[in-house]
Amino acid sequence: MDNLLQDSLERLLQDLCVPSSIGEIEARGDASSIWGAINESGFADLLIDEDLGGAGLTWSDAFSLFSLCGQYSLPTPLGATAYARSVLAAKGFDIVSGPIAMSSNLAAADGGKIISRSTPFGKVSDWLMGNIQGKTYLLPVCDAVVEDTGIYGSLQAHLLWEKMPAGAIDLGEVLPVRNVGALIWTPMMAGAMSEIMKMVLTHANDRAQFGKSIGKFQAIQQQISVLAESVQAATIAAQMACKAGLDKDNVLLIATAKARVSELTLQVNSIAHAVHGAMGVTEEFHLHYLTRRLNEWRLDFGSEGCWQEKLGQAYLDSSANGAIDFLLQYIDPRERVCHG
Amino acid sequence: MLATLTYEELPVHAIDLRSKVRQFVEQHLKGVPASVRARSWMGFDESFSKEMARAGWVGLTLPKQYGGAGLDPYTRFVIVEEMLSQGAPVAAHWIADRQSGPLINRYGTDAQKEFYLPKICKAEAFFCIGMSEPQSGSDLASIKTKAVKAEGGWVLNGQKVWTTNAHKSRYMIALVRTSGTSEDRNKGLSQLIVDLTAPGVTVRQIRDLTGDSHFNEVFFENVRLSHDALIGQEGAGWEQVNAELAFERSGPERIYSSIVLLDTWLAYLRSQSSKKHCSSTVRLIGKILSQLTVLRGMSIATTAQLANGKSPILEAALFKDMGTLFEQELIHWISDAIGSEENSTVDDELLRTLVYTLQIAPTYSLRGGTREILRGMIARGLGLR
Repeated sequence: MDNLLQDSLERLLQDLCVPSSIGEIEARGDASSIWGAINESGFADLLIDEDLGGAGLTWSDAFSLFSLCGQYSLPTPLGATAYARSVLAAKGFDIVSGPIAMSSNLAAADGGKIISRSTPFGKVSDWLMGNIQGKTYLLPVCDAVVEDTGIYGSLQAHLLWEKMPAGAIDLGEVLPVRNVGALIWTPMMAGAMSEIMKMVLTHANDRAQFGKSIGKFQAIQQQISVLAESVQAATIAAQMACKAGLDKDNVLLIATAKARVSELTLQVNSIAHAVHGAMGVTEEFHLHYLTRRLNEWRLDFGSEGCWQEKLGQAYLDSSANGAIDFLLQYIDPRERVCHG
Repeated sequence: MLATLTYEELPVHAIDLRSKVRQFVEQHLKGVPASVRARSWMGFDESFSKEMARAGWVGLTLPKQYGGAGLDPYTRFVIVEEMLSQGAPVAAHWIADRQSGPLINRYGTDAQKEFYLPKICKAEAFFCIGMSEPQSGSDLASIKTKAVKAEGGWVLNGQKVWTTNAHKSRYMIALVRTSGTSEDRNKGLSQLIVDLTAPGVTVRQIRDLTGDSHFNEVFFENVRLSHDALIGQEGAGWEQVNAELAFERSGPERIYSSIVLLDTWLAYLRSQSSKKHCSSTVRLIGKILSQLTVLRGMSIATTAQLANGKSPILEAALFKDMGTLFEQELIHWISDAIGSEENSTVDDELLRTLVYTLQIAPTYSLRGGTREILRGMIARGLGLR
């Protein structure tokens, strides 16, 4: 994503995502106050092909888009919406204007019911993209019973449709929603982690105890180094996955990235809260917007265990001769191409 | 502050060399057991190094005019990756190729370059590094080995310790004090090339807990050195040493030290293909592979900075710390997987490889800058006042 576009999105998010606004949106469970501005900005159309009226951003370029959403704790599913709109456009459907959530957790229940439990951004979305009855649909949330999960400050919701709604948009095929979700969520998480890093450095320098800033104490320094390593690793993981994109041959790289970034969440959150002390767990201080989201996003579209299992099984099923050979033959896109 | 490392893929020209290198290594390592190859880049084999030199792969980044391969950091990455992935015994030429040669190339006089570099590229001259002393480990600036000016050059007195392969090397690049006193700390230090066959040099091997003895004590008693033993500027030793840290710490050798164990275990699991592996084992494989893939990406991203003429000292330290922890942790995870088998069928070779690697693993985070020191350095580099 070119710098101009990136700076422009960042300025928009700085305006819309002032912590008190996010708090209000979370309390009300309603993000309509900011969605209008997002919709008008055109950023939700970035992934639509250029000849269909979008910016034709590649997944590699989109790393910055998704990462900024995470960095600013944006309380609407801009990333998922951007992807869904690109699919709608490609298939010749009208672009819907409201926010689109995504879930890999759609399930059929008795009597033709459709349930989506713990839908990320379920409270603040007009549509849900997910797979049911062997195909991918966009389901209108207005036809669902939206149930609060009872989790404080969460934008998740349980969504229940009594039957397939008349207004559902049938996308005509099965899209890899779980892979897409993982691919979008990974840079979101990396972005949130990079913001946490900044906050930790600021606090360690500003907060003084025993006559000096706490960042001068060895125990704190050791922890902050580990945090920096984790954030660097998460960023690289997300970049690697985005650079490769959504091609089905790249699913193992998506698995790698989502597994790694999910796995790093505990350490990142734990160090962030350790450095910030009691203040860091208050509602008034802003750290929780980031750490709460990381905890939720870790679980969305599969936490580390299931992606690790996928990778591990892929190894056992392969004919690779060792870890590096497997990495080069099955995961690294350029090495795969070079060596056939 | 931490630069935003950006991931790039390895360039095609670097990848093109891969199969050739792999074939070479496979050919030369036929029949060498895993427990030996587990020594990784600590494995010393003079004839292997000479074969590599004949293939043109020693002095990878040194100029062609001296017999070097004149390769860029990306290509070096691929070659080193192929070497380490099979545990090729590269120790003999490793130090010269990775540090001493580039040091001489960067700071040496033409005479020094013409004398040493061709010998390095032919794997005829092996180098070791003399830095630590009994009272100076992490606190390197407190070293006491001293070279005073004398007729014809210098007289060297003192002692170095933990000098890997000094007993098999011709030359040492020693960091010594050439002016001032210990109170001057990192000022007044210089790098001298010491011919270890010179009178007054005594080398004593130190056996380690695995039975190997690559460590040494090296004593200098009135060792006479000529003027041209000095490499670079007198008094600039500290800066010269630090200039190389990004190269030393960013390479794939910081994530592949235990890869022979990993691959031996994976091969063992494959041999059990009729048995269904439990989910925790399958997940463990995936956990290791995902961490390895991301670390490799970090190494490539840091290498890209080097290739672009930058000096990513902070990023390299960060990568080394994270990489060496991974190298160590995977051994523990595999140990548990092996130790949790019912009716274990684990063979002796895997066990020998496991235990060797387990015992030597603490050195991964001691060498090249200890974990605790690196983390302090990283923290300060992040701007903590």
